[in-house]
Amino acid sequence: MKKKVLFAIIMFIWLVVICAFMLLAHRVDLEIFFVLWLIGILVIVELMDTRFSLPSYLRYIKYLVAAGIVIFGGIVTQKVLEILSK
Amino acid sequence: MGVKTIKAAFWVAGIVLLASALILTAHLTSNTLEFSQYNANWNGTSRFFSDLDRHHTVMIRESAQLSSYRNTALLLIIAPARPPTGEEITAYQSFLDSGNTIVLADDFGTGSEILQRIRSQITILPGNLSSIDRQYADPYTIVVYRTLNQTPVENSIALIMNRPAPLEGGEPLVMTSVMSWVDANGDRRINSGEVMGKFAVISSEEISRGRIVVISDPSIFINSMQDLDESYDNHRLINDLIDHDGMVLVDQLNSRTADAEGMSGILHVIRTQFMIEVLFFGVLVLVVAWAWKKKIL
Amino acid sequence: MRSDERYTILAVLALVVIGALALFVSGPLLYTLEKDTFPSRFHDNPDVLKVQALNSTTDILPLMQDLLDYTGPIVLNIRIKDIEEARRDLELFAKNHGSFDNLVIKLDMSASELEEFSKSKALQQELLMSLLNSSVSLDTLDNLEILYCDQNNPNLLLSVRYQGEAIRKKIRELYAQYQTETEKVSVISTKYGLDTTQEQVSLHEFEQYIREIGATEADAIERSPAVFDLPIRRSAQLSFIMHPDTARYGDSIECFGYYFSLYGYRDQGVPGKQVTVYIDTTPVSTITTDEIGSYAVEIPVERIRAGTHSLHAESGTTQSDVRMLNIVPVDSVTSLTVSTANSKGEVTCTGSVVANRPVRFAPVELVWDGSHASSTTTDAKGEFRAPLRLPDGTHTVIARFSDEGYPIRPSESEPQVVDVSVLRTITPAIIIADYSWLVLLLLVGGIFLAFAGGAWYYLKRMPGRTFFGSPAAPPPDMTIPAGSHQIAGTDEFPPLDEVKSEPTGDGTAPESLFTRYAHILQEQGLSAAARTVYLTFSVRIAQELHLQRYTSLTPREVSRSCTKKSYCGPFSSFILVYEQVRYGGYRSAAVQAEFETEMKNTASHLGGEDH
Repeated sequence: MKKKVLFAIIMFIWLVVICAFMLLAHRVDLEIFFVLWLIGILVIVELMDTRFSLPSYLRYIKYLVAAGIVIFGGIVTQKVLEILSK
Repeated sequence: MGVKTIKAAFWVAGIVLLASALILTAHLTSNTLEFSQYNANWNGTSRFFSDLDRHHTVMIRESAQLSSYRNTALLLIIAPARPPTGEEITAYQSFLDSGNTIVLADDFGTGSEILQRIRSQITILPGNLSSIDRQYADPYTIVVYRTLNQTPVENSIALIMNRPAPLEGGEPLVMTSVMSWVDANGDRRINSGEVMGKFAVISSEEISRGRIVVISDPSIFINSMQDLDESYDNHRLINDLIDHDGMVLVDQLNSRTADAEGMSGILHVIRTQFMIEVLFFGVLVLVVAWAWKKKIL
Repeated sequence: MRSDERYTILAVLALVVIGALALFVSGPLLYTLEKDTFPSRFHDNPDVLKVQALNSTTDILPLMQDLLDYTGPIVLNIRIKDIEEARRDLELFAKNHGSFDNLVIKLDMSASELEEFSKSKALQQELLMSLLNSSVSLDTLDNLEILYCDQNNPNLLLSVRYQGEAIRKKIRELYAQYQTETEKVSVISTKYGLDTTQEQVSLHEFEQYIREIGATEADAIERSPAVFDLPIRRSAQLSFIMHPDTARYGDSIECFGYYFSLYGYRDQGVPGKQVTVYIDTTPVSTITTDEIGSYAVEIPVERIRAGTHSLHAESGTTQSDVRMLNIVPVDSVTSLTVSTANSKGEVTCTGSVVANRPVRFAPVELVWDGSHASSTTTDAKGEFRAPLRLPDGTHTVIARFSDEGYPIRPSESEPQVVDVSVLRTITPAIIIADYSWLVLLLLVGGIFLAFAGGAWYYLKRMPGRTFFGSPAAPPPDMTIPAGSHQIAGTDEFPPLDEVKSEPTGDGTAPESLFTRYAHILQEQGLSAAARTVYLTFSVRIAQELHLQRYTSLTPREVSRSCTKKSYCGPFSSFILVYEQVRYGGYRSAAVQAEFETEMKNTASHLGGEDH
C-alpha cells in the first residue's frame, strides 16, 4: 500500500478514535480534538519521514504541522493567561 | 492509476469537507423554538415526539382529518399559539360530538379562547401558580396531587409542573396543596395580597358526547421535564397519554410543537411534502447516474 | 473536471469549514450545560435548578401541629402548679417555634399567613411565660399572706394583698390577649386542616385558672379581719417585702411593697410616689407607686458581693423595714483559647467565664509569661475576645477572673502555650506581585516565541541537512556512469584542468568526444552513446553554472537551468533529440543524423566558451 494512502487511513482511524472517546466522555471539546490531532499528525509524519528526500505528499503536510504548532502555542498561552487570572 | 487516485482523493476530500460544512452549519443554526418537536434542547418536545408510537399516532395538519374518528380517539393540543379559526372550532366540536376526547395543554397561550369557543366551563386563569410543595429551589416548579381517580391520571399520584396556571371550572382531577398561591406580581414570593389555597391544574368536563381534559401546563411535554425524579409520576402521565387505547392525534394546526425554522424548516418541509421528497430523490438519482456515465464515480 | 477546478472547490470548502470552526474559538467546549440553558418565558430549566424538595404535608404542617399541641398541657401544668413541667414545656415550645420561624424565613413566606401564625404563636408563648411567672409570684404571695395573717402584721398583709390584686388583674389581662391570639391561630389552622383541640383545651384551662384564683382571693378576704387594727400614726408608711432571701449570681430578687398614709382608721394608698430600693447603702433601683400605691421591682444578682446584705426601701423621708439578703458565692470556670500567631506576632485570645450561668461584663485579665498582663471584658454572653501582641519566642498565656465585686469565686484558665516567630524577610512573591504586568508579558511572549521557534526548527529540519547547515553526504550507492570524470562519492567537480587534461586537450575534446561517441555507438548502440555525450555536456554545463546535485536533475531540468549562455539554445535542441533517442526509443537513421547534428552544434558552442 502506498504511504500516502496509508497516511490518510491512519489519520482517519485516529480521528475516529478521538471522536469516539469524546462522545463517550460526554465532552465535545474542539481544543482537545485539535491537540490530539496535532499529536497524531506529528507522530505519523515523524514515522513516515525520510532522511534524505522530501516526498511531495510530506512537503505541504510539514507546513500544516508547523502551523499547528504555532496554534498550539496560542492555546497554551491562552490557558496560562486563564490560570493566572484566577 | 495516477489519474484515478487524484479523482478518488478529490471525491473523498470533497465529501468530507462538504459533510463538515453542512454539519457545522446545522449546528450553528440549531432550533431553539419553544415547544418545537425539532428542538432537541431543553425547551423542545423532540423526545416526546420521538416516543410517540407511529402505528397509532396521526399528525393532524388539516381540520378535515378529525371527522373520521369515533368514540375512542384522543386529540392532543399542546401549546396553541394563535387564536383558533372557525373551521378549527367546528372540527373540534364535531370531534367531541363523536364521543372523542380532547386533551388541551396550555397556560399562557390561546387555550382559554379555544375553551370558550367550544363552550367549555373550564377557564385558564392568568397568573403563575406557586407553592411550598416543590422539587427544586424555584417556587414555580410545583408539586401537584391527584384528587380524583380518572383517566388520564389513573396512575399518577403526584406530578411536577413547571409554571402552571390555575384553572377554574370543570371537575378538578389534580390540584395543588393548600399552601399554594397565585403569584400576581411575578416576584416569586408571597406578598400580603396573595392568598394561599388549593388550585386546580388538571380539570375535565363532559361536553356533548365527548370529554375535554385541560392541563394547565404544556411544559410537562418538554425534553428537560422527561427525566425527573422517579418518585413523581410525570412519565406515567405521558405514557398513559401515548398508550391511549384508540388513535392518538397530535394537533399540528395550532400548536407550537409544529414550529420550525432554518435547516429544520427545510427538512420539515421535505419530510412532510411527499411530492417534494420524491422530487429530491429523483434529482439525486439523476446526478448519480450522470456522474457514473461520465466515469467520474 | 480539470485539477485546477478540483483544487478550487476543495479550497473553498476547506475555507468554509475553517471559517465555521473559527466561530468556536471563543468557546471550544460544545454542548455544555451553560450554553444550553437559555432562559424562557414559558418554563424554567430543571436541569440547572438546585434540587430542594419541600412538601408542605411532611415539612410544615407537622411543625404547625406540634406548636398547636403544646399550649394545652402548658396551661394545665400552670393550673395544677407543676411549675417545672410547665417551664420545660415552654422551653420546648420556644425552641420549636424558633425552628418554625426559621423555616418561614427560609421559604420566604414572611408575607403569608404562616408568618401571622408564627407571630401569634410567639405572642402566645410570651403570654404563657408571663402567666407562669405571675402564677409563681401569686403562690408566694398567698403563702406570705397566710404568714403575715398569722403574725397579725397588718402592714405587710396589706402590701401582700395589694400585690396579689395587681397580679390577678394582670392575669386576667393576659387571658384576654391570649384569647385573641388563640382565635387567630385557630382560624389559620382550621384552614390548613390542623387539629386545634389543644388550643381549645388551653383556653378552657386558662378560664378555670382565673376562676380558681378569684376563689382564693375571696377566701382570703373572708379569713382576714374586717377591720384592721392599725396603730394610729400621722405619717406615711412604706412596706417592703423581699423574696427570696437567699440568692446566687444570676438570680432575681423580687421586691415589692405598698406606700400608704392613714386617715383616721382607714389607709389610703398613695399613687405616684418615688420609691428607691437600697442594698446596704447603695441605691439600686427607683420605681413609682401605681394607682393603688403599690410598687414592685426585680433586682438581678450580678455585681453584688457574696455575704449578707441589708435591703430596704425609702421614699422621701419614709423608710421601710430592713430585710436581710444572703448572697451565696458560686464557683466559676474560665476558659481560654489562643490562636496561632501571624507574621507580626499577633494572637487572638478567646474564651469565656461561666459560673452557674455565663458571667456578663466581667473583667478578665490576660497574663502572659507570668508578669505581663492586659485586661478585657466579657460580653453579654460571658465570652471575651482580645488581641495580644507577643514578641518572638515561646510564651504561656492564662486568663484570670478574680473580681471580688461578684459573688463568684475567682478562677484561672489552663495555661496556653504559643510560639511566635516574626518574619523579617521580603519574599519573592511580593516582588513578583509588584511587577506582575511585566512578568505576564514576558511569560506570554516567551511561550509564544518558544512554540514559533519550534515550528521554524521543524521546517528547517529538511532531510539531507544537519541543523547547522552544511550539506550532508549524498547516498553512497549512487552509480557513476562510465566515462564521467566525477570524483566518486562527492558532489564536487573535477578541477578544470583535469577535464582539460584529456589526451587531445581542449581543442581536441570534441574530437575525442566524437571518437568516444563513435566507439560506444559501435559497441553498445545509439542509446548508450547518446547517454555518454549528454553526461559530458552536463558535467561541463553544471560546472560552468555551478549547479548543485546536477546528477539528480533530468536532462530537461538541466536544460531549463541553463540561461544566458550561448550554448543554452543548442543544448535545448540537443536535449529534445536526446530524449527521443533515450526515452522515445527512436533509433532510425534520420534520428541518429539529427542527434549528431545537434551534438556537434552544442559541442562547438560549448567549446567556444572555453576562451
